[in-house]
Amino acid sequence: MHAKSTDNVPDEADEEKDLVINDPWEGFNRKIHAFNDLFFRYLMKPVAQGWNFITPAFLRQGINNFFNWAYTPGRLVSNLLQAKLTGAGRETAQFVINGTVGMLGFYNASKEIFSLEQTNEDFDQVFGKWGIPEGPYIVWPFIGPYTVRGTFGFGGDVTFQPQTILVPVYIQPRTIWVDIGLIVGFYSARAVNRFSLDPDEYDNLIKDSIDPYVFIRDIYLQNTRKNVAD
Amino acid sequence: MFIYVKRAALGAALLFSVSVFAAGPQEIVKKAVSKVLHTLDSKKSKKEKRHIISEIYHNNFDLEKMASNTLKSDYKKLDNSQKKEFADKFGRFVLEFYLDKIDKYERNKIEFVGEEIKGSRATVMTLLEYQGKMAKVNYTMTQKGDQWLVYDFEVEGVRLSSTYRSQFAKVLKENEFEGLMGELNKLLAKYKK
Repeated sequence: MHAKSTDNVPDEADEEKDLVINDPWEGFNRKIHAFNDLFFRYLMKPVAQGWNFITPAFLRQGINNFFNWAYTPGRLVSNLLQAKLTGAGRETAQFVINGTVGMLGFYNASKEIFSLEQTNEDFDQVFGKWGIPEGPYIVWPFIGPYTVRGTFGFGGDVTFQPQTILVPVYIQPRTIWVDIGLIVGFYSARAVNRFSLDPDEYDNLIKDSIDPYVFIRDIYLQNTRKNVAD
Repeated sequence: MFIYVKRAALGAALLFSVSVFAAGPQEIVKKAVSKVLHTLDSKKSKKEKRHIISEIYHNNFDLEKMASNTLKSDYKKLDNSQKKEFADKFGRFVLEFYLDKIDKYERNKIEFVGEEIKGSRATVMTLLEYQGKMAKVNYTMTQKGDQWLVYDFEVEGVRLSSTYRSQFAKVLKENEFEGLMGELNKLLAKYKK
């Protein structure tokens, strides 16, 4: 074991730019963050742990795969609106493969057999690619961190989710409450199932932070900017 | 929110794949990954594995550069003994962070995508399988003599230095250097539990 030279740390320490933070609503955001933290610890996590306990892992993974498959339309449109034709092709191919061989997406056949991955495109990336600025950082109750642009992106994503398009056809009369109920219901089910895959994930993440609010904000902003740049 | 928690948590899964020997940056990382994976797959005790990987880390990370790159302008305001103290403590934290994740290690697929060298700085680009998807993991390295050393890394756009920069700057502003050391001690204490 040998220590590296400490004598001459060059000024190029500043070669990477500081992360630009646009958080004018920090006071409000911190309150919502605190609420979300309690919501997660005392409701979301116990429910996810209960689901984890009563449901075998392969089934929870299958359900997660199903949601990822069913949300293909939003990713496909997001690829097309960014002129990402390769991504759109991948999404189309995996949708067909997983919808058939993968039994409506429960088995991720496209990845396991053909090494064909789903993309992670969404409407925030579409708007970013179109040059729309991200705006201030904002934390929403229940759904967590976004930027203003990301909030509108979330709206775009929801619009193309299958429950928004398909399910109300079978539930009449269709009202705004039916739509909201469906969106919240599917979002919650997906989130609980997703967290059940690793209920300690959030705690393990937060453990590494001094200020969890700043930690999550800076991670979110870096990740979302990278996704737009890709 | 859960999607971002997942993405962010990726960082935890990656550090074990880094250590460096004298050679070109990508080749170095490849060899190092192989050595670390070999250690993890061996029948050695957890304590022995921890010792070996700690040694690899200390031999191949540039802790001072990692410290200066994280604190940026604040680093220049510290005196030499504070710089050393911070570099040591932050280096210990990153190591503990990394070792903690080894418990959750699974044999995930790693692909080497390429390297980019600009003067004495290099980026090695890799893909690491995490929860069924391939995550982009880039290692930033600096050349010292004939050695390439890691001083920063990035997981799906989330950089170690940028992630801790704001938090450290806030503590330094409010509670000065002693406050920052106190916070790092608290973080380290979490790993002792």
